[in-house]
Amino acid sequence: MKRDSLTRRDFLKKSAIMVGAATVPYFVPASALGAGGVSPSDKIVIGYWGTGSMGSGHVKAFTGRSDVQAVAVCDVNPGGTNYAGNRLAGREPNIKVIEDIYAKQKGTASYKGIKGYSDFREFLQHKGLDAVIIALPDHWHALAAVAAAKAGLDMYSEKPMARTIYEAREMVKAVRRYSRIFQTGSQQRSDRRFRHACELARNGYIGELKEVYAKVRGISRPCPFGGEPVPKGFDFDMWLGSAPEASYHPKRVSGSYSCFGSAWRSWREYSAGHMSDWGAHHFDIAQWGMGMDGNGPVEITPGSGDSADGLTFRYANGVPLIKQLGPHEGDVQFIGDKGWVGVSRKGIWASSDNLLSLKMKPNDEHLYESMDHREDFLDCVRSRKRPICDVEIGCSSVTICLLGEIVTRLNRPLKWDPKRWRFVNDREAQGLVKRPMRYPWVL
Amino acid sequence: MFKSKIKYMLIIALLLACGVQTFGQTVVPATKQEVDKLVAVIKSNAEIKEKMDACRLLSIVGTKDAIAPLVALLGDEQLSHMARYGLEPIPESAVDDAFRDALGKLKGRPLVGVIGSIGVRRDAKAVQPLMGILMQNEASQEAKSAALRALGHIGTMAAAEVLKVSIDQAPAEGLPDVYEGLFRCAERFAQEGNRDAAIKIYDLLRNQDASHQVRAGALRGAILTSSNGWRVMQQHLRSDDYILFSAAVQTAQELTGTGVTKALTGALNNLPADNQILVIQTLGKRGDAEALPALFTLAKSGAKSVRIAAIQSMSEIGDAAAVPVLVEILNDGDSEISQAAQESLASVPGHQADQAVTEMINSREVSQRLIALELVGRRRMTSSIPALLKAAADNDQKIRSSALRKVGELGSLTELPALLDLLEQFKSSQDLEAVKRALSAICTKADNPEIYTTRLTGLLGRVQPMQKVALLHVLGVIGGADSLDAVRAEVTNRNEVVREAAISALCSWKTADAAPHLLALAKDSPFSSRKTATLRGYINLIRDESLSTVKKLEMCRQATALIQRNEEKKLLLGVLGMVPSAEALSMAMSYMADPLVRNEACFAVVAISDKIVLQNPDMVAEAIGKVLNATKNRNVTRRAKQVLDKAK
Repeated sequence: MKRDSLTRRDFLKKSAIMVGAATVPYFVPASALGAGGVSPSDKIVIGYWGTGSMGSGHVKAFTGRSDVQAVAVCDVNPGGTNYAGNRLAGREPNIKVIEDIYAKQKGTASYKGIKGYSDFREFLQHKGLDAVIIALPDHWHALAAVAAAKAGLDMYSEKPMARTIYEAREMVKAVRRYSRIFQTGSQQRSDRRFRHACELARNGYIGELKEVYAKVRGISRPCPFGGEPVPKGFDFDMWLGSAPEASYHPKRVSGSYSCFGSAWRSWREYSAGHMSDWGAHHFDIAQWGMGMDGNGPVEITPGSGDSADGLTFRYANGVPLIKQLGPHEGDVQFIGDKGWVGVSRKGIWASSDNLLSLKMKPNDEHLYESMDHREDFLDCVRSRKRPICDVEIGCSSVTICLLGEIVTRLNRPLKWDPKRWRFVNDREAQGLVKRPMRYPWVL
Repeated sequence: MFKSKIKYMLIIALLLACGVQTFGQTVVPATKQEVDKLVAVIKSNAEIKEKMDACRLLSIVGTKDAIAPLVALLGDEQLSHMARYGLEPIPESAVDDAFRDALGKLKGRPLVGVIGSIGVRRDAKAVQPLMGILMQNEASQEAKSAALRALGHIGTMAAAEVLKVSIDQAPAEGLPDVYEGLFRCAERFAQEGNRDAAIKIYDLLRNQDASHQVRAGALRGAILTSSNGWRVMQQHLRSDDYILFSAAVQTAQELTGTGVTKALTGALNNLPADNQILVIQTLGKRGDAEALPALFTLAKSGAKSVRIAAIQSMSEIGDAAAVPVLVEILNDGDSEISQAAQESLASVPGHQADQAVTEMINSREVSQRLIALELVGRRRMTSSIPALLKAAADNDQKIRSSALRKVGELGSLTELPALLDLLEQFKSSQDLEAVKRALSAICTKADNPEIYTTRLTGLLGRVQPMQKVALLHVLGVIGGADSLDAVRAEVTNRNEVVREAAISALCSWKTADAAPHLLALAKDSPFSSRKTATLRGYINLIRDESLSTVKKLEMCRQATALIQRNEEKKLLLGVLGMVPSAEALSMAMSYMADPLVRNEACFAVVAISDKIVLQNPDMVAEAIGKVLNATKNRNVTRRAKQVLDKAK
C-alpha cells in the first residue's frame, strides 16, 4: 500500500495488525497521512467510563458533537436504582441515550452499535478507541488513568484528579511515559470569568497579592452504611476497586450531588469530601491566579471545627491561601494591596467596576484561553498540545486538597516540600500521602 | 477487652501525632511498650477492623518487633494486604528477607500482594526469585504480571536484564507489563545519572513491534535523556513513521536551546504541509525567536493552512521582529491570511507593535486605517486616544465612526469635552449616533460622570434637535436629579423627535426618582403606545434596591391599576417575586386564575413564599398548595416543594 493512499482508518487498521489486536491507535489526523485535510468522517472515537451523575452529563455533551463518535460505555452498574434511585445513571440507560442521539441525527427509528462493558479491562481493548471519558468515583481515577495511558488512550478525567498524592504523581508519570493527552475536569478554567479574575491577579491589577480565599467545605468521614444485598448485575467488588472491603448500600455507591452526606463523595474510603470535590475547582483557580501551578505551599496550618475553616496554605512567597469565604463576594477571592477580585460560577466582582471590564494588554501575561473544557480536550487530542488542565496541573491542584485533608485529619501544622512532594520530617503525615490498595489493584 | 485496648492505642497514636505542634520536627517514635500493644492486637482474636487499624498504625510506628507478627498475617486473605502495608515502611532488611521467604510459601492473592510489596521496597536481592516466578509454568499469569511490575519498580541493571529477556518470553498479554517495567527501569537509571543504560532501554523499546504509545514514549524518553537529545529528535523529524515523527515534535516542546529550534526549522522545507503545521505550532509554543526567519518565509507564501499556522506562531513567540512582516501581510489579497495577520498583530507584545499601528492610522489607505483603528482597540492603546480623536473628525465617515467607537472603548471622562465639541459640529445622524455611543460608553464606566451634567444641560439649550436627542440619551446614562430635571423639561418639547427621545430616556431611567413622572405619563398620555412604554419603565423601576418594601408595594398597586395587557402583567409578576411581603403574595396569587399568566404567577408566588416562609408559614403553605394544584411546570413544582418543606 502506498503511503500517500493511506487513509487514517487504513493506517489504524495497519497499526492494529502490526502490533496486535490488543493495541489502540495513536491519534493521527487524516491530513497528516496525506489525505488532504481532516474529513468530517474522521471523528475522535471515544468511550465513556463511568456513567453516574457526572458521567451521564458527559454522555449527553460529548455524544452530540459532530467531531466525536461514541462507541462504548463501561460501568459496573447496569442501571436501575443501584445509584440511590438515580434511574438515569448506569450503563444501559446511557447506551440508550447515545443510541437515541445517533438515531435522531441519522433520522432513523433506531441506532445500534454502542457496546456495553462491565469490566474495564475488556472496555480498554475495544477496537479503534482514541480516548476515554473517565467519570468514576475518586478512588478509581488513578487506576483508570494509568490503565488507559498504558493502553495508549487519551483521557478526559473528572476531578479531583486522585484520591492520594502518591496516586496523582503516578498518573503524571504514566501520562508522560506514554505521551498521552490528559484533561482534568476542573472546568472552571474554561470559564472566561475565572480566567479574567486570575489574569487580574497575575498582572498586578489589584496590586501586590496579599492573600487568597477559597470557599471550600470540610473533609469526608468513614461510610456508616452497608449490609444491603448487592443488586443483580451490579459488580460491587469492581466498584470498590482498591478501596477497603465493604458491604453494599445504595448510599455508599450513589454519586448524586443532591444528597451530599449520603453518597460516595462523603466517604473517606472513596473521596476526601468537599475538600477535594470543590477544592479541585476553587483551590485550582486559586493556584492559577497565584501562578502556582506545578508548585505548592510550604506550610499548612489546620482550621477549626467541622468545616476546617481557616485552614491555611502558606506559599514560599509568604502569600496565604485560606480555606474559607473571604470578606468580599466570590467563592475565590484574590486580595491585593490596591484592590480585590472575587469570582464564582454566579459572577465576578471586584473593588472597581473598571477591573471587570478591563481588557488585558499585549504586554500582560495572558493565560491559556479555553472557552469550552471538552472542546479544548478534543482540540488537544488532535494537535497533541497539552490541554488547559493538563495532568500536572490537576496533580498540583488535587495535592492542595489532599494536603488540606491530611492536616485536618492530623489537626496540627505541617511543613511540605513542594519540590520533592514530601512532608518535612513527619513520618505519620508522609504515611497518608499513600494508602494501601486492596487486592489485586496496584499502580 | 481488646476493643478498649485498641481505643487506648489509637489515643496514644493520636497523642503522639498531636504532641508535636511545631514545624520541622519529627514525630516522637513510639515506645517498645506501645508497639507491643499493637502487636498484641494483631496476634489476638480481635475483630478484623481492629487488626487492620493496628496494622495501619504499625505502618507509622512499627519497629523490628512488629515484623514477625505482621509476617504471620501474610497468608491471611483478609489481612494480608494490611499486613504488607504495615511492613512496607519498616526500615529493616528483615522485612525484605520475610517477603522473599514468603514467595516460596504463598499462593493466590497473598502471593501477588507480596510480589507488589517487594517492588515497593525495591529489594534488589529479589530479582532472582522473581525471575524464578516468571519461569515457573505453574505460576499464575497474575503472579507473573506482578513480578514484571515489581522488577520495574526495583529498577536495577539485573532487573532490567530479566525484563529484556522477557520481551521474547512473555505472552502477548504480558508484554504491556514488560514494557512498563522497562520504562520504569529506564526512568530510574536516568534519575540516577546512568544515561547510557536508560537510552539503551529506550532504543530497545522504540524498535519493538510494540503499540504506538510504547514507541512514542520510548522516543520521548531517549530524546529527554540523551545529552544531545535534540539530535535524536532531529533524526526523527525525517521519519516516514508518523508516530515517531509526531512524538519527536511533541517532545521538542519539553526541550530548550537554539539547537532544537534549528533542528525544527531546518526540517521544515522537506516536510509535507500537514507535518509542517505540527512543527510550526511547536515552534510557536517553544517561543524561541530564532525560529522567526523560517516562519517569515512560510508566512509569506505557500499553502494557506501553513501560512496561517506560521502567522499564528509568530504572535505566540511574541518578538518585535515579527511586527514589520505582520504589517506587510495585512495587505494580503486573501482575507483569511490578512485576518490572521491582524489577529497576530493584536497580541504581539511590545511598543514596536504599538508604533506600527500608530503609523498605520496615518496611512493614505482607508482600509489600512480601519484596520489600524481596530488594532488600537485590541491592543488597548490608550496612548493613541489623541490620534483617535483626530480621526473622529476625519473626512471619511467610516473612519469617524470607527475612531469614535474606539474612543468609547478606551477613553475616560477626560475625553468628554472633546466629544461634546464633536457633537456640536456633527450634523449627520450616523455621526451623532457614533458620538452618542462613545459618550454613553465613557459615562457608563466612569465613577462620577455627573460632574459633566451641567455642561450637557447647558448644551441642550443651544443645539439642534438631532443633537439634543443624543444629549438626552447621554443624560439618561448619567442619571441624577439635575439630569432628570433636564430630561423632564424636554418631555413637552414642541419637536416630536426631541419629545420622544426625552420619554425614551425616562423609560430607561435606572433610579426610582423618575417613577412619579413615568406614572403620570402612563396615566395621562393620549397615546396608547406611550402609555405602554412609560408603564413598563415604571414597573422596571420597582426593581430599584434602594426602595423600601412598602414603597415597592405601593408602586405595584399603582401599576396594577393601569395594566391592561398580558405582557405588562408578566412584567409586574416578575417584579412582584422580588418583594418579600404577604401583600405581594396575595397580589401574585390573584393572577393565578388567569391561564395566560398562570405560570408567571405561580413562579412569583413561590419566589415570594421562599422569602417570607419563616414569618408566614401557614399562609405560605396554603399558597404553595394552590401552586401545586395549578401548575405542572417542573421547575416551579420542584421549588414549590422545597419551600413547602420549609413551611412545615
